[in-house]
Amino acid sequence: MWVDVSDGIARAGAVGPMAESSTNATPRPAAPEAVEMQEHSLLDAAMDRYASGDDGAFQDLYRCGAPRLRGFLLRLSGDAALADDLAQEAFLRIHRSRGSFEPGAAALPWVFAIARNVFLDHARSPHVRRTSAPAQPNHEPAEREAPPDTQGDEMAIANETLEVVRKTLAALPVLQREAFILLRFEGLSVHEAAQVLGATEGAVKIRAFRAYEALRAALGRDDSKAGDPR
Amino acid sequence: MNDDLDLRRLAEIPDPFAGPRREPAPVKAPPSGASPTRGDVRKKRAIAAVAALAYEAGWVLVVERRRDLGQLPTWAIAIGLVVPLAAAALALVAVTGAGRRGLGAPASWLAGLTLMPPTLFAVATVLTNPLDTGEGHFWNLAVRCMGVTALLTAGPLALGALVFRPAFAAASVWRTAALGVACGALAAATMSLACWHGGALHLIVGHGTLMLVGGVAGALLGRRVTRS
Repeated sequence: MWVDVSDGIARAGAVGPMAESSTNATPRPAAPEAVEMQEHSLLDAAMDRYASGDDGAFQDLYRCGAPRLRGFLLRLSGDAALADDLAQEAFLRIHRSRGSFEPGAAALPWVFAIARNVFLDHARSPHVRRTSAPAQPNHEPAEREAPPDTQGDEMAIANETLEVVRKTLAALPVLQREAFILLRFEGLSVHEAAQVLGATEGAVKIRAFRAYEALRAALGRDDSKAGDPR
Repeated sequence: MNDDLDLRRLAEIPDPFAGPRREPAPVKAPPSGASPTRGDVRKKRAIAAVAALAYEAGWVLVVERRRDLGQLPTWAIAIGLVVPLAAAALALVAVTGAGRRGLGAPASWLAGLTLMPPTLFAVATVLTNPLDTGEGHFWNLAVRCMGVTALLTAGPLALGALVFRPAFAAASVWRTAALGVACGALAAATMSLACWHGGALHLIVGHGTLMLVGGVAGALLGRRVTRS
């Protein structure tokens, strides 16, 4: 292994309903847009240099891309240790296929597409199929807890909500889960998500919306359970 | 129906993995192992394209060419070549097109660009050739030509799979299927110089079927070989 991504890199984000959005892009609860734009252009430039043969650009590529890549894999797999391993494999594949990165292309969707392939290969591997019984995921409590300004009961409820979302997300079919994650948490547009997933925009919208409905239903069940006097 | 899907509602779902951002561990060294740069990849693809054309030309020059090639009018030779080569060019757009985000054309376009060349070949062949020239032994001749076309498809497809090995981050199945269709179309063009049969049915079955077979073979390779 040549890089260490086990340091628990997660994107910042608030808990709870998000504000505005267009129909093609849902907001990410992370950094302001300007910072994100800057991060994207740094990542694009680093990937472009690396594809052209500048080996020194790998440091920048890793620094800018690793948090996003690992965050995406963590949301897909629901397991921090597994996300670290898959991130390593994804960077190895990025290294091997850097020559096919198109000049002037956006690096993030390309990186996500490779990370998705790594995840699918892992999910389809015979070992995983044999042991397909739902294993206890390796939690990352610091990444799942409600914001520190939440207090008492509110914090307990918020944590419970997050746990329901995490469990429901893990139980969703992969096609729905990946579409939902890309649109809701990774901030990709429908067009970009469709490119990453190799599907039509209509299919991506439907998959993401079905995931939303499943999550909404799970949260509804959880609310009614909490309101049950028994 | 898609207009009913209000994706703004996705924002109602909280992120269970949101949290404070921490910097990644520093990288001690870039990964090792084979990693061709963009320049290397372009060079390899150009060499593979020349090698594929040389393979096809070699077949006509060394192994087999139609007996009446010298007596055929130029337009007849041109039509025999242009139709399958146009199909190959169309399929190659799907293979090499970068798309707006560098991940290739959108999925619906890829499907169209992969399935259209065999259709184009079949329609153009029917329009430019008599349906059946009545030479007899239809299936014997067709099966023989399918075998030769398979050989002419396999070489370029193997070369293509080699140079596009970890090239497609997304839609690798469609894009490699398009590569297989392009190789089948190139083989059909070569066959127009090697086979004397001029019936449209023979051309479609004997020479054109390999576009579909190449497409299926490409799709299988796309899952395992050309995906990044």
